[in-house]
Amino acid sequence: MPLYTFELRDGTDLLEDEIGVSLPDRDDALEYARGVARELMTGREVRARTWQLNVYENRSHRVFEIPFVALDATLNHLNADLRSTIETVCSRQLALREAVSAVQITLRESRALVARSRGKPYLATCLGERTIRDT
Amino acid sequence: MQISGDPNRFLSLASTIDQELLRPSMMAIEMHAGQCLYASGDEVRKVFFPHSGLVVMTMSIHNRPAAGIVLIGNDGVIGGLSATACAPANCNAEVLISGRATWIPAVEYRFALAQSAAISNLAARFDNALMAQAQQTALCNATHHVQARFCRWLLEIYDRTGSTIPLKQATLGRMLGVRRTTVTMVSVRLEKDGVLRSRRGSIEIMKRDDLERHCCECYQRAKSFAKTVFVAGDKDQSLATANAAAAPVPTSAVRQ
Repeated sequence: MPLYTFELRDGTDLLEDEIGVSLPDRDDALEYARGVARELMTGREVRARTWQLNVYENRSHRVFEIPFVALDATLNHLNADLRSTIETVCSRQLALREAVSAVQITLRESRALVARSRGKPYLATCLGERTIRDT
Repeated sequence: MQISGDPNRFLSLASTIDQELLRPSMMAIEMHAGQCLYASGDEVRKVFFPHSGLVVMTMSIHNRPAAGIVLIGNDGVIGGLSATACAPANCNAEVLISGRATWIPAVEYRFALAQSAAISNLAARFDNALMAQAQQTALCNATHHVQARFCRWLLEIYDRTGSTIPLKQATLGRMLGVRRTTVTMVSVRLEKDGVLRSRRGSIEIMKRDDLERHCCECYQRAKSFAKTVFVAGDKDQSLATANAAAAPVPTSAVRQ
């Protein structure tokens, strides 16, 4: 049976389930992943509807990208056009959040690099992550 | 009979006289993770008083345990409610974390309740706290998102066992009624925030305050309610004991 692993894009980090689950086929993997997305979103739809869950087969290629907004039952009352607009906005919002997060990390790294080059103290790690990333 | 480890709260709150009433029929037991003390529908023949470890009451669906309802450590009694009512178990009692307990036969438990108003009062308070925890879980499952519920369970377990929680994500997923991957994603998020550290087969809480911040209000509500029940009960205890001393022994209080 193929092994399916998962990657969650929540706007700030890529959260990975590296253990994964062995499932008979892609249909089961899609159903499982949709279940995970619903479980993660239920009760906080406004915040989580911008998230996206990616599914990988045998750790190699991506087989599904599941935008949470597509499964958001709290939007079911909307007509197709409005829903489609919200889905587009959510997709862009996720990209924007990731860009902002990347800029913050780069800024922090830049400050650390400048401080290090001047022989001054600098922030070496933040929540277990190296501030100056390996090149 | 002596048993090592922390005392069970029920037994430590019982007066010396009441402890003597329970002691002759007490037996020690080692509880092993994964062991089922009784299953839903079983006749409850034993009432357990854990001294260490952790037991979860679960409900089944399609004959498989599906979700955790309440956690009981050395702060509670297992099977007391069903034993008192002579009713079958209404859920499964599964050992989550190995530990030690004492148990007495259900019939002896009922006898002790009938003999002592103080024990009866104490049991009612524990049953009340248990019901409150179950009701809070029902509300929590219906209204709060999985990360808040996950944090609540971790805090409940932390309070009973300590900062290292020897449970797999799959087990926690089963307790929450969600897939293992869902628990992994929530756990990784909290790990990146520095709240906990996940290892294969265990979770270490790094910042308890932050965990509480991520948790829903249900944790504090259940905790404060249990506190209120026991404080209020303690105030009434002396009055109940005095009344019991004056009252005749009920005719039903005869060993079966």
